[in-house]
Amino acid sequence: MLKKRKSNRAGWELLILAICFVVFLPTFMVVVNSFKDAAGAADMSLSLPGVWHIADNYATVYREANIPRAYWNTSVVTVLSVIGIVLLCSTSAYVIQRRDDPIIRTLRYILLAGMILPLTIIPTFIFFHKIHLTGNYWGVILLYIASSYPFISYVYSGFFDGISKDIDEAAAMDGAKGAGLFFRVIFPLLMPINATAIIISFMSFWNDFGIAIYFLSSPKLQTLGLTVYFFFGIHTSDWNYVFADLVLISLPVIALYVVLQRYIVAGLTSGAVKS
Amino acid sequence: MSKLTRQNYPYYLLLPGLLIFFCFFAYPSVSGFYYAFVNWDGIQVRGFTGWDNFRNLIDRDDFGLVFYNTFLFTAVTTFFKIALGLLLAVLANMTLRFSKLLRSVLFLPVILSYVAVGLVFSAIFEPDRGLLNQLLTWVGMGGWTQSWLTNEHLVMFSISAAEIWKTAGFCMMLFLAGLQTIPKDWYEAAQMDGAGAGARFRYITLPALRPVIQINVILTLISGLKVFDLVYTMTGGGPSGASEVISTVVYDSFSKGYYGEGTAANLLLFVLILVVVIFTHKLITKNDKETSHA
Repeated sequence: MLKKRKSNRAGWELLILAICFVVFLPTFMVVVNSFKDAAGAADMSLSLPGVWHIADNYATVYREANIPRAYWNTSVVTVLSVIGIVLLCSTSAYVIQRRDDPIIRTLRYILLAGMILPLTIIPTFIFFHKIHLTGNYWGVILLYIASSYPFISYVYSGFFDGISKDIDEAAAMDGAKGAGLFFRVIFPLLMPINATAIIISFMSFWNDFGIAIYFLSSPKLQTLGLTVYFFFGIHTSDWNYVFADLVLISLPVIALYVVLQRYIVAGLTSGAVKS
Repeated sequence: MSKLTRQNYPYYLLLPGLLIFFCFFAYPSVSGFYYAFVNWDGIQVRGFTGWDNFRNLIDRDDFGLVFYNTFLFTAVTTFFKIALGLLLAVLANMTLRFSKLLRSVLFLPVILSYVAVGLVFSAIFEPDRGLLNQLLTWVGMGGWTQSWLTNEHLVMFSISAAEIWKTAGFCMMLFLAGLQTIPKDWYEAAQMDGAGAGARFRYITLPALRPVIQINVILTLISGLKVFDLVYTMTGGGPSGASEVISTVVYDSFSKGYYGEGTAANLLLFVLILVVVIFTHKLITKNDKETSHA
């Protein structure tokens, strides 16, 4: 009986290893082929490179794929949007969760709809174009903030459920009110949920493609996702370069994942579970 | 109390965020309901045209196909993401060696961008040297090799496979969080009563995970209907329109300057998502009532 158990366990463990192997294969294929010369990478085999072309490939991609510019663009847009999201959603959610009047109740339904329904992108683009919010960073930043506002506010609201109103009242007794009360007393309590909000919004802005392709297609404004897509359009069969480019643009999120895995997994999943 | 509420939770804390939401998301999106019914070149509105934009859409040869593809992608990915996510979560929840590794490896694709995943899978599905056909040949199944992305009957399934690879790990983690809330002694009690592994899964695990499954289904349905990045980066809607979905039609209309038509397509997606979410929600609450009566 015990023996059967043991062999069962070994079977399950083998299955796990097999699944990991299969799921990891694509990533391995990209990395290993980004080290090969053009002919070797065109083969797309999983063998190690005969001749290592690391410096060559990556230097070429760095020069030709608009990488430094794209890093700058993506960082500016992502960082400013994340800061905006944290400040605007935490303050809004505080009022939305604490108050309970007809306006707020209606608002909760509107935000729920905003979470579910898609953007109507063409009128949005034209509207932004008319008020000079295309051809620069600001339009995208505002649109990122506006489109994630309902969900992130909702995530904050859930956290405020767990902060007692007694804290607000005690602070009010001490003479704090409004913004002062929020930023001095409440905001310092929000660090765990700020981390969640930052992780969720960072990932979705950094990796965005669907909005960027409408707003940031010009070479000056291209983000990482767009550069690799356009680079692929020109170098369709230079897989060594395309793969090196993919590695270069994914490096920051992968590095973050390696260092902060626990927090990233918890952050990305907790938002969904709460609802 | 009311005075305290006004002082402690003033509307000026709410307004900045809310204004941005209304001005830059809600207003332009809702204005689509107007722009879908006019003749419009992006600068000037040249009169009200009723349902013309929608009629033009329906008159496209591929109108049915676009919706069929969108539904097919949604159905296939929802089914496999839920099923695989559930099985993987059960596997990851057993106290085995490597279960941590399983979580780390499966969640890795979740953090990658859709562009990256799309391009990687265009390489994997490449007919001549792509990884999939190479592996098939290598294990002696050379007869199974396909032009995964240029065969019009296969292409939606190939794109769905990429989506499943990217997001199964996310579903797994959601289910895993749910599994960890189930008390271990329920399983022990059931085992003492002679319930096998299948029965335990059927009568303990599934009912306990019900709420998580429901959330997951709704989330994957919505993201499936909205799909754009993967289709656009893997095939651009091709071969010759065979993998076109609603969101790629919107982008296509946009780049050709057919703003009215694109807006109409976008509105159809809007309504479709609304209907699907309401319908699923109704179905779920109805089911819940029935099971709670039983």
